[in-house]
Amino acid sequence: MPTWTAERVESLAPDAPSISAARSVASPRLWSSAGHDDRAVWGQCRGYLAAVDLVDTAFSCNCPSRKIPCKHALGLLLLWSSWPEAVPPTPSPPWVDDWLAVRAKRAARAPVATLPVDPEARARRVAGRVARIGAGLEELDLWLRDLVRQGLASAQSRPFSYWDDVAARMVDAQAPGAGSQVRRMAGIVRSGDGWPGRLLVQAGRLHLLAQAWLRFDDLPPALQADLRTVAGWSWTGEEVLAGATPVRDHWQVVGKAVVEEERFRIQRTWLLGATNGRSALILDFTAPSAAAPAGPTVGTEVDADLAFFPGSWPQRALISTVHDEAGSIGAWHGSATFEEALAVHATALAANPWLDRLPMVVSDVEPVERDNGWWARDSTGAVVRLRLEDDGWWMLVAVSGGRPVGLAGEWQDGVLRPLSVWADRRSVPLP
Amino acid sequence: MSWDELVAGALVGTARRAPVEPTAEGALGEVLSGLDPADPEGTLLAAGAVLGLYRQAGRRLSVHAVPLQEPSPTEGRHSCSEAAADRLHSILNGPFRAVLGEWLALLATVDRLVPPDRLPGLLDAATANPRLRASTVAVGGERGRWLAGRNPRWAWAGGGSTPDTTHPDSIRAWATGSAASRRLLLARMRASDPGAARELLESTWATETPEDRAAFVAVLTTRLSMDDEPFLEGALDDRRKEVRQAAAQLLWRLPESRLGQRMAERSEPLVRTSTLPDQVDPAMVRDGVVVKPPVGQGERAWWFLQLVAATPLRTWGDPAALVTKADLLLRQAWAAAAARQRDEAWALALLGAGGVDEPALLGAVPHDRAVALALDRISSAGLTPAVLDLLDHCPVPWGPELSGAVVDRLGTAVKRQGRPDAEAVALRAKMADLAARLDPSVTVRTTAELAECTGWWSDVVSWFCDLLAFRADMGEELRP
Repeated sequence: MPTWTAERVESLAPDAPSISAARSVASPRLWSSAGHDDRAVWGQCRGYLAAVDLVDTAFSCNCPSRKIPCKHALGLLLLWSSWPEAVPPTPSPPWVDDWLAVRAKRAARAPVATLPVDPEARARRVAGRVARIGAGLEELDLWLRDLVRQGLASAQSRPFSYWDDVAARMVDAQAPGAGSQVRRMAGIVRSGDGWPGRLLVQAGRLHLLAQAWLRFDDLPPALQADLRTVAGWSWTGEEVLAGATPVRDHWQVVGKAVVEEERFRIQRTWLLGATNGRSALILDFTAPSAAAPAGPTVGTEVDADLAFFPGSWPQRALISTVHDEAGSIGAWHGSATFEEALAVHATALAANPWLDRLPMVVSDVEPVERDNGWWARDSTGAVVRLRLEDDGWWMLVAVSGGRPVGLAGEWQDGVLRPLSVWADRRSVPLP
Repeated sequence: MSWDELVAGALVGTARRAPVEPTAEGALGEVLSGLDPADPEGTLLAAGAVLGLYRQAGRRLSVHAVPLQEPSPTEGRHSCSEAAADRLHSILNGPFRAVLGEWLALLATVDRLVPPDRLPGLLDAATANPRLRASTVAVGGERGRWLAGRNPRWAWAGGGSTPDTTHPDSIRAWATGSAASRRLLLARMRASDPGAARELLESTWATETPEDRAAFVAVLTTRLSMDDEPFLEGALDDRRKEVRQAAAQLLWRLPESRLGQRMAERSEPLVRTSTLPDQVDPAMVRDGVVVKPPVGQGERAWWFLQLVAATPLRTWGDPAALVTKADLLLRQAWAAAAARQRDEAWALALLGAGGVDEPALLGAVPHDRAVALALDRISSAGLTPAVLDLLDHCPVPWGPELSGAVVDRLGTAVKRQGRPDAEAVALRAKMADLAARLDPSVTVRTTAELAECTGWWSDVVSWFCDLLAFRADMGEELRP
């Protein structure tokens, strides 16, 4: 049975036209000698041989298209998901075997991280980086003090390089996270009404980081982890898996946001535990030209173990083991009111003051339009402002039909960015 | 000290104004009291962080006490399957946007609705293409109407569910709507109650703009009958030429009309004596006769053609006996009349006699006869420009036989080596229309037949096959 849903396949497409093109070839009559086994799925479409490595998700096709995956590879997967009988389980043909063998050989040649674990050397490396970041943050703190000495008003006339130079120095000091927080300040200055207050908070948070780093070695491990996270000193997957106790639940995929950064694309996938009520964030980084990472599909829930990254309010996680494949979300576990959701946020901020983006999942809210803005109102009449594009807003209104719906999204700076809406026992991702 | 004072101090800078020492009650006050007054910059930054966090964590929401809005009425029909909904998405965002009309019609046949989350995309598409509006309203259901009523951009699709002239919503929409939404309202009403629609139009006729009058008359094409004749006869005296012309064109289709009688009186003596008219009088112009002939046609023949084409066919007698004896000009005129009056006996006789270049006659014969005739023409002449013209007028569905014949001919055409001739160029230009109308059951055959095409054809053929396959899948998803 195909384990790939059409939506998952579409999420692999390099662009929207590829999806339509793939649909146009995903028809049994266009394919011959198609089949699959545990490793791969393959077939022939109008003279082109297409195959997909199901284990490592790789694509092969001899068509002239430069897109990866091309419409034939995508079409093959779509065909498999819609007409399983057209892609029966059969022994793989020689050309598929050859391709997989070449891939396996190449993978074997790739360098494998097999550094011997030497605890002392490792401790020296860690201490070295703590010191380098500390030096960078001391410099940052001096710069922040200079900023408030001259007054935030002076920031308005600064060129972008004023911020960017400091941000670049943070990257040099191996604290890229602090660097992007500085770049964010440049955006705050131009963000309209109330910017001085927001800029002061942001400067204060960075000051807090620099101050806390001075005492890094004396802090409890969870707080150290929080500081590492803000500074942008991350953990490898192996480190996370080694250090975390897996948390098993039926994780519901309640939202997905994609942001294009300068050199890469970040995909944030938010999960909510159906039983434990915990939220988790899966981050995927890809090159802007590459296919979006597959990842779990919004509206599904998967029985899986998550390994959380360390911290006082663990949020980012990895899926370590999938116990059962994804089905549709069965029931919505949102907070009854915004008040209730914000109480959770307050607890989170008390644990980790640097959290600036938190998930929010609520039930029974209605989209309302007022003061030329878009809002959501809960059953108590409390409203929060929504940040949406025009098409997202109208999709939300259409799905709600003027009745209360469930809403999931990201809460940042007092504004909710909805990522999915729950109505008629179905979750719909919002653009 | 308040947050605003703290921010004001930060704006000016500690160099110019020493920061007021931040204080507060309770636990917050305790944290703030730990700050070092000797370090004004550090105090300001730390207070900003602490108070900012305090405000963030203790955020109070405003309450919006406006009464609840009117929700969308309960839906009587079901939404289409997810596969069909995904298909709509790829039609709207892919290269095959032209099949949207067909998809909407298929959805209406199986009595399903567009799921709510797909409505905004569809409404936008139909806003850009008014020809899709009526079918969009049909498959949008209650939710579609409710949604459209909330966005001025989609106002054309809002309003009451049953177009009823006595309903206050309809009256208001007719009185205050935009030109486009009024036209759609009239069209919908005309489809359900033709007489009521005409009466509604008559009630405001005198105050309509000339552009609207011409457009509204054209709406009466739907379910046209002799009940409309008095109104249309009156419209022949309209101040605006476009309105007069639109009214005359509708009256030409009504053999019982007074205009028909007048035309019969004019053309009967001419046909009997085989003469052409030598002048056009004002009464003829009132009945829609255009004085200036098209380029390449003599004016007297042109006038003759118009008079006979607007004359009721029963004036002449039995078509079987008459058409073989008639000359080409007379046959042309009769053919135009048969197409307009949808006269099956005349259309069949004229098509059988041949020599008449009037593809619109296919619209006057039963569907199976039209398909059989088109098939016949393809077998004898191939896909010539004239036959392609005829196919343009052949109503869908074409069925597997006619579609198969078209594909066979296409197969031959696309394999022909050498420089493409004019016929090939004309055929290539028609490929998009053909792919949109062929019966999708010939998809497999098409792929096989056209596989060996020459390079000049390859991109259009590949697109052609893709579109057919796309339509085939679309049909399978919406099988009744």
